[in-house]
Parts: sequence; C-alpha cells; structure tokens
Amino acid sequence: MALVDVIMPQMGESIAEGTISKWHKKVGDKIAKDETLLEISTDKVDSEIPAPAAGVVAELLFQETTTVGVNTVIARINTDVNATVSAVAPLPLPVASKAAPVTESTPAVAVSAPQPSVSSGTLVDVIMPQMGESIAEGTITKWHKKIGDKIAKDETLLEISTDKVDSEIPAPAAGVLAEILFPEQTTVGVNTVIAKIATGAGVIVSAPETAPNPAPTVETVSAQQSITVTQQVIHEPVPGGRFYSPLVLNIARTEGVSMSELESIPGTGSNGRVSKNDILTYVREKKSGTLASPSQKIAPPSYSSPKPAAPITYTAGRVDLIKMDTMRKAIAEHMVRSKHTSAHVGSLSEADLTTIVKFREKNKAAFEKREGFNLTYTPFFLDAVVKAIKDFPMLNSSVDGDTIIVRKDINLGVAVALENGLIVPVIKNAEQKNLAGIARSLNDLANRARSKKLMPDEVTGGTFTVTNPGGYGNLYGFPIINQPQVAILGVGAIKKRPVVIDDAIAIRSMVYISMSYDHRIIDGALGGMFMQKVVYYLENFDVMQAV
Amino acid sequence: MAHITYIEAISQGLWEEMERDSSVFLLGEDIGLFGGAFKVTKGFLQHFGEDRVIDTVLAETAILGAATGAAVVGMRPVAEMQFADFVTTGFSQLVNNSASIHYRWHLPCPMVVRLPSGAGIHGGPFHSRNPEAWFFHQPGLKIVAPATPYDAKGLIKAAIRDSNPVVYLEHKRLYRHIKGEVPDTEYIVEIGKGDIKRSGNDVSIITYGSMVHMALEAADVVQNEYGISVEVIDLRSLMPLDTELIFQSVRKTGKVLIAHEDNITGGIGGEIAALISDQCFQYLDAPVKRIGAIDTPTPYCPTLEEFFLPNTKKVIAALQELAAF
Repeated sequence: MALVDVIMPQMGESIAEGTISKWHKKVGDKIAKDETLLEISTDKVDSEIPAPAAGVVAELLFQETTTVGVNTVIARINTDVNATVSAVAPLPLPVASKAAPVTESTPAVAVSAPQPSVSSGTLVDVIMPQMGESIAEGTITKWHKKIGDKIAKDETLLEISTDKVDSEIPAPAAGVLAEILFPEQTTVGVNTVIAKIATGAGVIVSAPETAPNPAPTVETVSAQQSITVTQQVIHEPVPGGRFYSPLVLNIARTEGVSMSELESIPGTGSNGRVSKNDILTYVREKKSGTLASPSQKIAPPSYSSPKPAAPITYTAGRVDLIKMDTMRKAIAEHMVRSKHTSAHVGSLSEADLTTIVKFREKNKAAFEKREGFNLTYTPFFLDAVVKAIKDFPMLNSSVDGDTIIVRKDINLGVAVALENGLIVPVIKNAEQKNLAGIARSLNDLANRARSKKLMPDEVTGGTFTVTNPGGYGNLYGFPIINQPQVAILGVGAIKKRPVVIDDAIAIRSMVYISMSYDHRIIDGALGGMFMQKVVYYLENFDVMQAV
Repeated sequence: MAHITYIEAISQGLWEEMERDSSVFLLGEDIGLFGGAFKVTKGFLQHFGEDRVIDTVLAETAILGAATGAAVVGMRPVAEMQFADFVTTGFSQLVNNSASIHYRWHLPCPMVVRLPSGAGIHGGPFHSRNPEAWFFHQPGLKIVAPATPYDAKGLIKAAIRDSNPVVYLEHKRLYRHIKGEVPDTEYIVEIGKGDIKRSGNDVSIITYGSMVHMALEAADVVQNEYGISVEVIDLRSLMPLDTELIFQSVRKTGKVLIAHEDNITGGIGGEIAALISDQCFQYLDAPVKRIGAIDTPTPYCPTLEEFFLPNTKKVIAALQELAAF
C-alpha cells in the first residue's frame, strides 16, 4: 500500500508550530485530493489544510488542540483505493511514503525499498532542511550513520551541501536510524523526507543486508505546495514590505492598480519608494498602452559557465577528472554572473599602516589574554571601511534596474578561504560595532566558516565585501564584486617599504588597497574619494582607543 | 503704486485709519514724542495730538488693560508693545480679559495689539520672541503676521476695523529690509485669507512672516538647480487659518514643509501638520515636515543665532529631502 504523509505546513517564515484545531476526517474516511482534511491555527493565520492526495485516511497522529512543530507528519493517507484501514491498526513500519499522482484506477503499487525491520516504536522523519530563504534543494554529502545505528538527539546524522552553505544536520530525535531514503551525492528538494528514525523504548532494528542504494523513488507529499496555494487565497496580498504613501495607495485605488501591479512599479523615491510621479507615470503608460507588460520583459540571461567553443580534448589516464562540488559550482556561477552584471572598474591605493602596526603590537598580548583569540589586522581594515561607508553611503548599495538601493545597514562580508573554496560570512550591522566588536564577530564567523557551522543567515545580506589578497603575501589583487553589492575592497600584504615623507626616506609599514566597484553607479571620482577615506581612517587611527 | 518699506506700510495703514475713524487711537511706550522705538509712529503725535497718541507708563498690563476698557466702551485702540517679548507682562489682560469679552458680555472688543517680533537682529533672548503660539492657543483672539508691505498695510487696516482683539505681528527684520508695491488707493487684506506667493507642483511650503522670503528664495534655488517646483503659501493670518487654501495646495503637491521662525516644539506648525494629516491623509506622498528655530532661548551671539534660526539653506535642504522621498 502507498502511504502519503501529511505534514504540519509552515504557515509563515517565523512560524515554528501549529495547533490542530479540527480534524475534518476520521481514520477510515475517504478523502479527495485537496479536500479539507483538517484545520490548523498558528500565531499568524488559521487555515484549512487540504489533503495532498486522494485516498483513505490511514492515520491521524495527533489529537485536536495538539500543538506540533512544522514539518512534523501529522497524518497519513493511504492512496491505495482498495485500502481498508481499521481505526486502531498500527502502521506497519517502516514504510516509505509515496506521493506519485494516483488516479482512481491505478492499481496499488507496493513500494519495494530494501527495508530494515524495526520491531516497534514511532518513526520520526528527517527532512532536508531549508538552509536559507532562496534555497530550494540540498545535496547529501555524507551520512554519518548507517541503518540500525543508534543516534542521540542533535547528534550529527548527515552532512549536506547547498548553494550557500555546507552544514551538518543533527538528528531530530533520539533512536535508531530506521531508513536512509537517499544515498550520498543525491540532491533532493527541501522538506523532502530523507531518513527516518525509530524512536521509543524497545526498538529493535535488524540492519538490512545492503544499504538502500539506489533509494526508492520516494518523495514526500505535495502537501506543502497545495497548502501554499491555499494560503495565498486566504491572505490579502501583502505589499512585500514596501512602503506606500497614503497618496500612492489612493491613486492605486482610484485608477484600479492592483497591489501586485503596484509592487511591480519601479520606485524612484528614497529606498525605492514608489512616488506620486512613479504611479502617475505608470497609470499614464498603462492607459496609453506603452507599458511593457511583465511578459514582454526581457528574461535575465543565464550565467552558467560558458561552454568552450571547441571541445576540450585529453587523453584518458593523462588527466585527473574532478567533479565540481556544490560550492565550486556556486562560486563559478556567481563570479561569471557578477562579471556579466557589473561594469567592473578598479582603483589601487596605498596606506601607511605604521601607526596601526605599532598599536597592534602594543595591545595584542593583552587582547589575546582577554578575548582568547589573536587580534589580526583585518578588523582594523573593516573598521576603516565602515567609517568610510558612512561618509559615502553610495558604496553600500545595490542596483535594481534603474533604481539604486542605498542601504543603511552596513553588513560587511569578509571572504574566508576554505580548504576547497571560499565563503563570505557577513558581519551584520558593523556600523554598530567598535573595533573589538568587529574583531569578535569576525573571529567567531571565520572559525565557524572553517568548521562548517555557519547559519544560512550569516552568509547572506552582505552590503559590502572585504577580501584579503595579501593573505599569502601578495601585494594586491583584483577582486570580483560580490553581487548584489557594488564594491569589493581587497587588502594586500603589509610590508615594510622605504617611503618618502617630507623629502626624507623612512621605513614604514605599507599596504596596498585595491577596490573593484560597479561603474554603473560609482564613478572613479566617488570610488577614489571613498578609498582615500579608507586610507585616511587607517593612517589616522586613534591610538587612544581601547581594544 | 508706491514702492515702500514694510515699516512705512504699517505707518501708512495706521495713519489712514486714524484719519478715517476718530475712534482709533494709539497707546504705548515712547510712541508719541519719541515716535516709537522703531519710529512706526513718528510724526503721529504732532498730527493727531496727545489725546490720540498716548505715551504710557512702562507697564504692559496697564496698556493692555486700558486698551481693553476703551474697546469695550466703543473706541478702537491700537496698543504697541515696544518688543513682542514684553507682552508677557500684560498677558493676563489679553488672554483672560480681552479674549473673553465677547463670550462673557456679548460686546465687541475692537482692539489691536502690535507686536514687533522676531529674531535675526542679534537681539538676544529678550528682544527676539515669536510669541504667536501663546495666543494661537487662546480662543477669542485673532492673529495676523504679514510678510510684505502690501499685506502689512492691508492687514493693519483690517485689524483696526475688526470687532475682535487682534494680535498684529510685525517682524522687526522686515521693517526696513523689505520693500514692495502698495496701491495708492484704499484697500484692505481680509483677515483669515492666505495668499499663494508662488505657485508650484512638487512641494508646498506653508509659512508666514519672515520665513515667506526665505521660502521664496529657496523655491527659486531648488527650481533652478534641481527642477523642484515649489508652491509657497503665505498664511498672512494665523487665526483664523485659511485651511481651505492649505488643503488645496497639499492636495495638489502631496508633500508639505511647514516653516516658521518660532521654535518647533509647540509651534503652530504642529497644529497645521495635524490638520493636514486629518483632512488630507490620502493625499500625502511624504511625511509632513516642519522647520523652525531650535528649542532654546534666542542666542545673542550672531554665529549662534544663525545656527538657531531657520534660514534659506535649511529650507533648501528640507525641500530636497522631501522631493527625494
């Protein structure tokens, strides 16, 4: 028989749980696809949850008024039309859920997965987590446990890799690993059940002869999707966090401009706000038919790595073939896309770092003793960059069509080299941190970047990036802008050099600072002034400050 | 048309009304023999005699009390406070007595209190007040604040002919700095009517008094340099307010800057902003902004005074901010 899991949907980004307010069906009832199965209530909305598939209700796992975490399986539907389910029948375990489209006439299909046998207990699903808002899938890179292994709650069960971060996934419950539904290197959609853990006392597991490879075609339920649709019907369109003045809303209402149209109008006001003129222009163009409809808009070009014109030839045995991992592919895509997006222009400057070098020498021992980590030069550069951004906020912006989004939060990305790539954790609201605060954030993020412990939020939302081409002793580099930012600043190696000061030659600790910036919105004058400010703040570092 | 100064316009208006109506008389400190601290009433004593141009004791409460009594018995007194700041010592006469005569006795109280007001003349804390907000809060008083010679003359005549106590704010810095055309023929400017001093589409400035001139200068600059089209509404009368004119302008532009020289907190700009948000909410395309002096006593030091007061530059910056919103 084929069982489809019904899971507690996530009714909003910040919603962690929902309360089952009413079951519309009882065990044994027939249910059509999209027929209401239950009602739930969350912090934000009350909602009716439709059945993800047609069939017979096989199990209701929680009683009414129970509050359960999102993505928990709350019911199962038997899509086998001939199914007869007794209300108290325990679910044969383990069973791979199946959500293939089922028609009334389809004969029941038995899912034949290599199944370990687990004698009793409840099965807890392990799902592919959503590692960031825009992440739709993840690749299973390594299973830390095999079927039959005991596992503690929060013990690492597997490692996954996504476009943004690599991460270790802990077990959601203690028990015995009952099923592994996908082998390593499989890429699966978020919220897909990827493993099951048998919990409860007296769980006895006999490991199967072979690992389940390849995994049976198991997909969790399309419940998530159908629920999302339902949710959209329930809600008034939400204006995407964008602010509309009373006048703009008034004009929209009078002129019959829908909320979704309004959201599509590019704003020329502050922070991309749609001004009176913007909406009046839109209305005028709409009336005169000169408005480009969304379908007429040019599709964004695809920025995958270009294929070479001629096939690359090689002799087998004389080359090593290395399959790019997720991170490498992401870096490749991102770098090419950036070059396609921004008109890169560069400037190079140098700063006399002698004051900072002396300051660091004087304070580093006390700092390390107090903070437990080494005071590097990077925080000094970050601090100077933050100050210079405050003077020239345009460097802290993004380009959206013909709108420049100047950001007020300074979220500094700092490139951290990893064994096989790099990652750019972000120091959020660096403008609110002093030098020591920046140093602490940087140390924490860099450590966790190297140990793959970064959260998705910590590698997104950057507004300006600093990279360190001097890390291996090189004088300077020509970085590529980290989209959708508009500038990236590279710090070279700090070296003692003879320099001329007031017609005398002195030995000073010098550093080259290079910056790539987006000439679409930052001209050489602004870029140059900004860099000189960075230099100024470095050279005029306040040695009286505490660190 | 005569091209005259703001102070000449006030003098002319007073003179003409005294010629026209024998119940009009003047009283105040040093207004007779000396001709007034600012010479508004120079030559009046010689022409109208000491029964109608009365040099008083140095006591504002006596001046305003006498004026109120005279108004109640049918005269039309025009009382001069040497500086608007000094009206505080006669405050009770004005707000408790004059303002409530009609309410209590059903009698008219046709009196004018002239207040030479305003800063920007390095007068320090005692000679720079903009006292309109105190009286704005008091039901029973009318308040006018002309910015041009035309309005100064038209409004002093209207104030004298009005049956209510009228507070007449004359800005000291405009006295001899501002010149303008005034008709040779008789005219008055109706109390309660504002004036569009400049027509525009992008931002409205609601203002009065000395700020009208800064608003007009700023409007020129932002039009020429940034292409921002500014409408300047000169309220002329603060009580009653010409709300219809204000609302019309706001409905047209959707963006409002209220500018007055008085300090911001508790200034009448707050009341105007509240009226706009109440009556024009769905027409607003930006927050209602105010500009005024900062909340300190008026500094004596010219540099500090300049920092303290609103000026053309500050108006330009506010206009740019609003236009960019």
